[in-house]
Amino acid sequence: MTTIERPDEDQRLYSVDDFVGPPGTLPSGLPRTLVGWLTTTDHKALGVLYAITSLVFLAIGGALAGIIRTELAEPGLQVVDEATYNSVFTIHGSVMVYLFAVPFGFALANYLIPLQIGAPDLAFPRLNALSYWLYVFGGAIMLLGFVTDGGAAGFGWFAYPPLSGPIGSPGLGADLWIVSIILTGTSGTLTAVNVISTITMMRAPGMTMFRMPILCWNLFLTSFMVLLAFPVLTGALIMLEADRRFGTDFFDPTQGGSPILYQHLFWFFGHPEVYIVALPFFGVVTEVIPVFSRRPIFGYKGLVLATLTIAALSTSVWAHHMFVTGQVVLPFFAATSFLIAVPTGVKVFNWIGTMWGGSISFEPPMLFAIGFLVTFIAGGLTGVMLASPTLDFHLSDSYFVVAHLHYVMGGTVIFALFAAIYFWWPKVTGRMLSKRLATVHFWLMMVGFNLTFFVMHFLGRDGMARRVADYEPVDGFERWNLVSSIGMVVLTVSFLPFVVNVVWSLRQPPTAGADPWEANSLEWATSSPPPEHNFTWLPPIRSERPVFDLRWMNHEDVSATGTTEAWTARSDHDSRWLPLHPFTDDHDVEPRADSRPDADTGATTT
Amino acid sequence: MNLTVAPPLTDQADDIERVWNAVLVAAIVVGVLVVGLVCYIVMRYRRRSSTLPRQLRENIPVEIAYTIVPLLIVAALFTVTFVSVRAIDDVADAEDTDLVVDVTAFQWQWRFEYPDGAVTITGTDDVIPELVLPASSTVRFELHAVDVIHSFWIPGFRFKRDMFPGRTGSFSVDVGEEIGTYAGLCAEFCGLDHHKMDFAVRVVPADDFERWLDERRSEAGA
Repeated sequence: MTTIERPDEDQRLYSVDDFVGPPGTLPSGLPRTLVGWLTTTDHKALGVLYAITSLVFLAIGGALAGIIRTELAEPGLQVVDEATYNSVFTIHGSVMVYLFAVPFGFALANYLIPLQIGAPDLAFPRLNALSYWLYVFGGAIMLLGFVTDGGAAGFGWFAYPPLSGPIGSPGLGADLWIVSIILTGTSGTLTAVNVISTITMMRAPGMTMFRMPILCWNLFLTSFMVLLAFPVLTGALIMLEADRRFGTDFFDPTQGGSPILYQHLFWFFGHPEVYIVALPFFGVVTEVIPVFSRRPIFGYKGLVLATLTIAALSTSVWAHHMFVTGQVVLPFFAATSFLIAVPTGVKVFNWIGTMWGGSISFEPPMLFAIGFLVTFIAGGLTGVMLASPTLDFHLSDSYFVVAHLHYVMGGTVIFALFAAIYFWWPKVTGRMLSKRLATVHFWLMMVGFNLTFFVMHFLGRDGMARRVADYEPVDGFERWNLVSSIGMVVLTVSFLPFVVNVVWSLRQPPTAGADPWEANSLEWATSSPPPEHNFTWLPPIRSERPVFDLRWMNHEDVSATGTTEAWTARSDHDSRWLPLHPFTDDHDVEPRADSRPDADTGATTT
Repeated sequence: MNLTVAPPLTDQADDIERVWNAVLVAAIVVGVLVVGLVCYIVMRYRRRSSTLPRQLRENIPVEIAYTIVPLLIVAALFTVTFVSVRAIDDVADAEDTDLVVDVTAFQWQWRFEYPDGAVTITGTDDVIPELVLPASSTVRFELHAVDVIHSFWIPGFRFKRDMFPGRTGSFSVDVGEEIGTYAGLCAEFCGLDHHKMDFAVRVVPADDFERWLDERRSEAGA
């Protein structure tokens, strides 16, 4: 086993700061004025806006969850009436899925894809701004349902007709909900087009597909799933709205319409949606674990293959949500649902293999990545159980499913989300967050989350249906519901250290430096926060870890670029291909794009 | 009336319970092993020095192993599942049905109709409807929904079936010997008072069932 001691003076490690200058050398590329923020087409600014907006929706969805858990803490209706409760859980689910989890993935895509592939922006910056504002107004329209007569939509986030039809839900809130999802669905489709175009067309010299960070791979494949799934949902909801307001009968059984058709359309979207939510967060964890284990990702190509397999299988598992309808082919959808556990398991072993034999430090992003891993294993195992129709006959639409979906779409998302925030916070702001507060945050969240959701498995198994405003004191559900509600209090409290941390951090000077974590991918090769158009200089890219190769460039046994001399020669070679301002103290020098090498011969024409 | 979790009430529920136990054990074993592995690695390989560890990128035999093993596990679970699904389907095709009950769900109550239409039980806000079943018999349920989608769930059966308006569904069970009163409910969210759609399932000896049916008939006739 080759191990390398920390170098002595002549074997020193290089740092990105050696190349981009100390903190503060380049001005931040983020807008400085309110008008600047409102009119921006910059991918970093829109990424930050996406992140803040989706966190606001997380807070709203969380507050609604607080109402749910308060109501269910004990039998009887104490806090809200049934109608309000139904609106609350509907908007809770819809906000969390459509307005928080998916858009936070888009925040990652916006901010990180150009930085990770060495591009100045996304392919279509104005389209990107349009996507963002469609999302903001779409989300606002959904919440406006609460101020209409009859309240917000109250038919659950899948909006099954006939309950969501003109007779089942006559209120305006239902129409606002449908329009909201149509708008945000369109927003997501446009973003997917943008991501695919950017990744196929705008990678820096040397950045082959198989040198991309796994996060970019996951966002790339997620975008294809968005293109497959979102238009189906948008179409189904346009049909539903036509049933409601324009007199069509697509889903009205009294007129020959088919409620089961809606379920097929919805879940053809709905199951890929689960992976659309999850894959970007899998990507986050795959970025974090190698950095804090000081190892390359284990089985890169196997991991990409697993993600491709998940994306492919995810389009053929949808009817496992419909096993108890008695109207779907059980063996086929059970087989595909079981099979999707295999590539998902492969991912877990990739992460474990990366940590195995590594040198693990427990910085906040790594803590949350490990929290993600544990949560994800638990959710994955109940997922395998729910792939079995035999068990679904009992567990479907019970609190067991509520527990499962909060593990896979709640816990994994929230832990990976905070891994992402703690990891990229120094890049976005140029400042560090307190490790001590983050550790408190982590443990409170770990305890609170599992307390809230683990006991729901027992409730479901014991026969508690989901989406009930109340349960009888004789049902034996009181104990676990109370435990769950106490867990919710802990979970809520866990956010306090984070808020304090953010406020404290933003009052510090921006001295984090370009690469505070000794990380791997290209976003760490520019200053923190990155300047307008991201890069003034790029290191040569000869592996999926260009910044690692830079740091270790004088150790040819670990650096993919070979020796220091080879690194420099490759840097010179690549920079001739880059339409960038070379980094000097003087930012007004002419770009070197006019001297590009001939693509075939490599000869330079001037 | 004790409505905590019921024992398996039917032969099919016994089958489902066996699958549940097998899958649960498998899940717990795998979960403990994998989470245990994560905990072990996290402690064993925590950073002790600034030495760069070996930069291992892949190990094809290991990667093949951790693809094949889960594949075998899910193949086994798939097999276990489908042996039981076939057993559940077999009774649905059975000719020797002792009793057919028409179950109708509407916002937000249940109606149970026994053969020849003479006995009908409809729930009200004050009286929880009661589904009475004879022990040791094969019962078929014909499922109807009036307005929106409901779902007929008896946790003691470990079984539920969605009920679609405009479409009659059905399923059959072999009721066992577990005499007693158990919970039943609507599992598909169906609007405002969804949570009030509870019913009771009372399994009685076959003789008592006939007597009960006669009493209800004479009540209805009188």
